[in-house]
Amino acid sequence: MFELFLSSIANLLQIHILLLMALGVGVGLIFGALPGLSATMAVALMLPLTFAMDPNTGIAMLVGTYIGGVSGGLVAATLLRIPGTPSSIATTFDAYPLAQKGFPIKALATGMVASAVGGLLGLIVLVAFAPVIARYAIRFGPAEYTALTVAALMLVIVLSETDMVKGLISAVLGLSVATIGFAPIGGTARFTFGNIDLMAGISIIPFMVGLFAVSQLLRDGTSSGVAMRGSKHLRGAGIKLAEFTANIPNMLRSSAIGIAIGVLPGIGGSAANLVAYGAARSASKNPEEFGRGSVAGIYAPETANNASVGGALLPLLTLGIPGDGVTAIMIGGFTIHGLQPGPMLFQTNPALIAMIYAAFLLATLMLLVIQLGTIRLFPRVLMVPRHYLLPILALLMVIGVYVSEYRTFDLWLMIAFGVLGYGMERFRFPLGPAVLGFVLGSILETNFRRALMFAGGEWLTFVTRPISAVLLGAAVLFFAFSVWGLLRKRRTSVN
Amino acid sequence: MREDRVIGAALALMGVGMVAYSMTIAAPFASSGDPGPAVVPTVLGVLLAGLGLLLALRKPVAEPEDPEDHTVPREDDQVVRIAAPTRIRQILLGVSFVAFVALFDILGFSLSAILFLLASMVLLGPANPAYFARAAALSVCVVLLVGFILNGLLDLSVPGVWIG
Repeated sequence: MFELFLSSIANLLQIHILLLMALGVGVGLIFGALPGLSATMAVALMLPLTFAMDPNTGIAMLVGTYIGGVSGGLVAATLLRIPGTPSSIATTFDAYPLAQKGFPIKALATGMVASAVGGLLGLIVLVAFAPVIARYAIRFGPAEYTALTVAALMLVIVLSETDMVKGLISAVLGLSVATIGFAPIGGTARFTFGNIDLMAGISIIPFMVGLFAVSQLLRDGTSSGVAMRGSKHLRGAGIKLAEFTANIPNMLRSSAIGIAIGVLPGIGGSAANLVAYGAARSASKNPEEFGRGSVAGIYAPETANNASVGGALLPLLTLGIPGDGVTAIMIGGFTIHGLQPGPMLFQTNPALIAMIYAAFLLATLMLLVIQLGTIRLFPRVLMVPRHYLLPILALLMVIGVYVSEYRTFDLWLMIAFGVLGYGMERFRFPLGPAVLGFVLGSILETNFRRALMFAGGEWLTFVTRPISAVLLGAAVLFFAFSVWGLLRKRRTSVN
Repeated sequence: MREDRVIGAALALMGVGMVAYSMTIAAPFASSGDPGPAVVPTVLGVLLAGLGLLLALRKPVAEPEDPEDHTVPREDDQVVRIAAPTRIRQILLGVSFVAFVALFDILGFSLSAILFLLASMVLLGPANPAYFARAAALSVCVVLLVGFILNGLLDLSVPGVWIG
């Protein structure tokens, strides 16, 4: 495989292929940066363009678009606190405060380097362990998914910042919002109150844009703010080697989280970045720095979301299972170019597999070069006067949310969640747990009910299956240690 | 904090409401072993009620103070502070945003967006005729460009786009 991989890289190093890949990466970056426009839409848009291309070129362009789309959320999340994609929600927690302190270049560069590291680590795992991990992933049944989501939800405690009760309330609110609409099994309408628009449920775009972006606009429009001085030059790349090396364990851990979550169909980068952020904060010696512009808080989510791409490609290539919308479209694209993902692929078409790996590597490096090459352009957004910037951002949010589902009702939901997010932040309820609860809510319920159905209503199924038992045990231990630590801290502060 | 007590009480009531509503959820196709569609909302309602009560009844938690931050730039650095708009302008900004959404279906994208951009730029910016003219021109240009990108280049079907 390694020889095929090297020869595929040589094949892709042709100017027209590189230019088309760069186009794909660029389109992906733009789609990822704008809320509502997603990597899925970018790949869907580019797919017809690849029909007339040879398989190598077409697939390379699609892979580039996919990787660009996942990474595009970084810029808007850093500069404007608008997560362009769900994969960049946790990036807003620290990258935005750091940019607001006058270090947008540092915040962006850190995210860009982390994205590249995450992508490369994801690729290494993809190349080295694809068949092994695919076999592990296929052993995940509903009970294991339930246990995994419960374990991930335990990170709410870490995302709760200083007030665990408020963090838990925030998570329960997110989980509750996810129950609105038709139930995932059986299709019973819940909390719709006869409203037809609510029956389809609430999608993540209006929820995410409202909670983060609209609430931010409300804050910006109602308070004094900061802006960059146009007369000053933006200084240095801002990445310190010491910070990078200090964050190597953080990046390795976040990559592992991104790959492990990306491998599992249905969860993906939207949860990976939040879980990695929570884990980084939990493992940090200085957790109080998180949320105030901590570099570690940027490395973690940006590494995880790009590593999850490698993870998501694993079940796609080895089992033919798409993990989400964008990988489903990728399967369509691969099929059109004569590649039939599935268990036999490694025997029947190893050259194309190697070519996908090579395209992944080149696209990741190309992404880093494009991002670092244009890094000084992006912070100029902050120099645009507020009386121009805020209205244009509001316009882009409205249109982004509208085109995600073509429903005006989503715009009202966006406003409602914006007011909710504004209120929550004002009264110090953290937003992270709400998003994690929302993202994991329907996955948890679907698999919880499915597991019980498979087990004939036997609740012990969650502790008699080894993987599920280990995950639940870890979740309980984590919860117990966190509560114990909190109580001890409170007792110490009282004394 | 008094606000926490009020919010906690409201959340507890909301939790009770969720539980009461969940009891009315029918499970027409309940199969063997399936706990049904009401179980998760019921559990969440109980959790919300419990946590709300905890928030309302607990001893006030001291607000965490921001530690001294040495990374904040100095006076001569790259950031500049901007004053907040007046209260009446804040309200009008909110109204203009809601009006934009309300008029989106009625007037279509281009017209509603131009009106919104113009209104919000005027409300946020300085009050002089030259600025108003610039804001109007910029509003039209931005809306035409965004509309063209959406419908013309991306082949989306946003209603009421003038060029694209």
